[in-house]
Amino acid sequence: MMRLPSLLFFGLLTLLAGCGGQLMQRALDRVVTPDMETQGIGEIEALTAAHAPEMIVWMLDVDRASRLLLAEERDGVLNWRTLDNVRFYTRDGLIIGTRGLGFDLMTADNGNAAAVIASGRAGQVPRVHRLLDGEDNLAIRSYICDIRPVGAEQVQTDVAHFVTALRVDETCHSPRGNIENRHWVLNGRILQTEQTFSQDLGRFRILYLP
Amino acid sequence: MWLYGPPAYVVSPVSKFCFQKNYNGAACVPLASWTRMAALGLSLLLAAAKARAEDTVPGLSLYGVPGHVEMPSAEALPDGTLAVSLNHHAGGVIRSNLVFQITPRITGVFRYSYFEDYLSGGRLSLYDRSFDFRYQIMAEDPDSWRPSLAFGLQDFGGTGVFGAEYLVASKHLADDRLLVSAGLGWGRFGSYGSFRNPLAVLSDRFEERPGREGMSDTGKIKVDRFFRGDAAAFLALDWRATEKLTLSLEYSSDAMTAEVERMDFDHRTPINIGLKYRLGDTGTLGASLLYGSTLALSFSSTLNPARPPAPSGHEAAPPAIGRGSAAAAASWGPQPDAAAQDSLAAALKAQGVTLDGVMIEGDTAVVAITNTGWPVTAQAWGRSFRVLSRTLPPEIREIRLRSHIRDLPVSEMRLSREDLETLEYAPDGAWQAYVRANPQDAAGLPDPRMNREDRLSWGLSPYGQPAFFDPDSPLRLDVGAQLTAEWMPVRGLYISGGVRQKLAGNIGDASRRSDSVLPHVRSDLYLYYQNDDPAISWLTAEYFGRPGSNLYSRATVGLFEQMFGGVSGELLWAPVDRPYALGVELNYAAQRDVDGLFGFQDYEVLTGHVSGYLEMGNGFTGQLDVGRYLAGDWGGTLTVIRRFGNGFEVGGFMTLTDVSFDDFGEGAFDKGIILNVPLNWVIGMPAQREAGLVIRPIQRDGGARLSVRNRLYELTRDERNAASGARWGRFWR
Repeated sequence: MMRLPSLLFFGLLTLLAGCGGQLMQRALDRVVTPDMETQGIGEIEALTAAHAPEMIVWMLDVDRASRLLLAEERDGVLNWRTLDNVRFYTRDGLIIGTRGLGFDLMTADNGNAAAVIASGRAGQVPRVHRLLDGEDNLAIRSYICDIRPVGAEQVQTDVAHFVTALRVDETCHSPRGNIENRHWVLNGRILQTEQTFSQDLGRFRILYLP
Repeated sequence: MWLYGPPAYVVSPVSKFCFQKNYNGAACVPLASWTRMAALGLSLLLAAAKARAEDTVPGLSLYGVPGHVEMPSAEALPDGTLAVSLNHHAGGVIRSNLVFQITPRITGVFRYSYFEDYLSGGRLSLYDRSFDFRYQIMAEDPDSWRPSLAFGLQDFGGTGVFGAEYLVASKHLADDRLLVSAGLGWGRFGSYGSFRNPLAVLSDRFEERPGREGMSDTGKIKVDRFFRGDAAAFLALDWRATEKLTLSLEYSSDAMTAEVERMDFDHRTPINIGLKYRLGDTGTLGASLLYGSTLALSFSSTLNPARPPAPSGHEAAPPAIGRGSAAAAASWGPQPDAAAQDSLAAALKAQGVTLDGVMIEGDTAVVAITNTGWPVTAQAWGRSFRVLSRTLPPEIREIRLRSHIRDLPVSEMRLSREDLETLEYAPDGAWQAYVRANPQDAAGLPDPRMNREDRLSWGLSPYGQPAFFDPDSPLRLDVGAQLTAEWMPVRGLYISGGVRQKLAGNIGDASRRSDSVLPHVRSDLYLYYQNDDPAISWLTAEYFGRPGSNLYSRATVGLFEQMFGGVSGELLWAPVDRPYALGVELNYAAQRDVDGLFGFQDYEVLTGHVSGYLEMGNGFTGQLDVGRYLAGDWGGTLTVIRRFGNGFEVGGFMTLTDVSFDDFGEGAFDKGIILNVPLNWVIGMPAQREAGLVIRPIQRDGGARLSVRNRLYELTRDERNAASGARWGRFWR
């Protein structure tokens, strides 16, 4: 009859794939983790008091959403944050970076995509995304994007408020797979947008609150 | 028109701004530290399941290698894949296998197995350790007839219980739904339906397979058995019935001779059948009927170290680059006042960085830091530059960042405000930041550090100390409490120690006394666990220095480890821009008393090594240590490690000394497997700790090396690598 220690041993060895053994012991030991999640809670309060611009971000494929405040602005880049300090960087309504999502977009070179989208005309633009690849190298994803206006649609901006905006579709082609983005343009600016930069995170929808 | 129907949110007063399911306005607060710790334990167990699997992973046989039921295939795992499998046979056999795809073509296996009532006429069970080596000679061409082709050496260095060699070809057919393998086996795999070895046409020597000599064979690589003796053919099929379910059918060439003779195994047929069911991306459950008589259940799990569950981490975003604090300008003269320094220190500390000192020279700030929170040095540097851009006055146009580890100045980078503002959102900002920062060796530069205040830190934590592979009990474990403390009275000097109090455990219950003919420098380790009173794990004073450019030094005195104390000195030459380094270490060590206090036994030894380090490319690092070991034997240790870019390490080592295999005893020579897993790889949050596991089939006294904390190559590696551009993808993370 096999004894309990033997069974435990073989089970433990199997858990090596999950980094068992000493990892478990050390995990229970002190973990050196800067306490950065709560940093800037005061900043949130100050931004709220100052009625900082807001946007809502939905992660459409995982049914999550958050409201973000505009925390910084420099050289045309808007830096939005959540309470737990996840950040989105946008330029002219398009996402150019994220921080804190696990599969972040480190940088994006969107060329003149924003201008073509805002113009309401069709066009073709290159896009280049950079993401961390798991070994801390920047993996480059290059796309050629076809942009075309679709037509007017209503966008809900509040419980009882709707506006009519021009929907512009953007199909980005790559040998590794295509991505489909959608934008809603109002008065030459992107009011709402759906963008994808990571298959692991899926689609994001951003509504810039008036 | 409506786009997706009414959105499920309420815009009015929502005061919470973190991502939450359904956005229902419920409380959404940052994770408290205790919550994170609780989640951590669960994360460890789920890490393998969470790890992303983008490549198709072949099914594993019951021997843990790519294969069918018992028979191997010629497939290889995706490069770098680590797989663990466990199977239980109704006849009282358990095999656990650890498999690593070392390169795209080379596979290594460590196996630990249990045979119930196998020895001494069924009175004793056998715990067996074995290693396999596989090489894929040719990869399959999916667009032509060409199959994959591989050979394997199974259990080539153990007692040979599973000893076999094989040559196998595999081909996918029917739109990849069918995998067919056919091969020739020798040894165990040449024992059913066997015929004259076809290699005998080359030499008569292939006709006879030398017999095993029992325990004295342990650890020896018996090359004269490879591909010798009768051969037999095997054939196997895998049918992928659905995306998750695979059915297997094979004709096995294994007669199970030893099991039939020793365990009354019933070999009714050479036909094995099995099924495998995929669980998620990384797990597989299996069931097999072996040789018409025995049911086997199996589980396997794979992960790719290059693909952590969260590649960019879940840590909070960094502060944005700022244009300086005008309000604080008055505080930042050539000698910044204490309030300004305290403010800067607090801002850096919040980002996991310790401020060691700051010096203002005109429009340049020289800032000395130590990375205390980040597993990725470049990320710590990026966070530091961000904080400094916000905290220093606008008149400071250039920042020179001096990075230290254990008070060793390692690198200096310089970036201007203009650089930082230009590159923060630039598409190739990480690369440009590295080029412009131009890291230099910081040895000998003017020191901006403040006089250090006495620093004392301590911690109390639980510990668990496992011990593997005792033939009487393969897993032993001690648990207890550990108190550690570190005091830094002056710059460069670290006095630290740890005391353990065992609360429960059975490592000291080991009853097999060492029969080693060498000084018992390791084989008496279990005696040190028989003590139930507090014992000192280590107590040392360490001094670190930079004697010159590219040179690092360490001096250590005290109780190094559980079994030895003494004096140790080390010098490392490691140029940042070269793939090689050279080190020398000399120790005078005395064996400690088994009570774990301050006393020593009579055994003293002068031991030390000259070490060469070489980064061989593709993440492979080789290390050769040549010198004198603890038992007074002379020899060398070769270590080869594959280090992934994220710090995950898998490797192996072997030591050969002037101690003969017979004098060494069971195992013949010292060898083992190294597995280091960064904690942040598992939890996706910043943590400098890593879990290190050295799997030695057996620990004897030959080739035993002193264990000294903070050896210089490992200590300085991350900083040196960052200075040469490693992991700068995280600079702006």
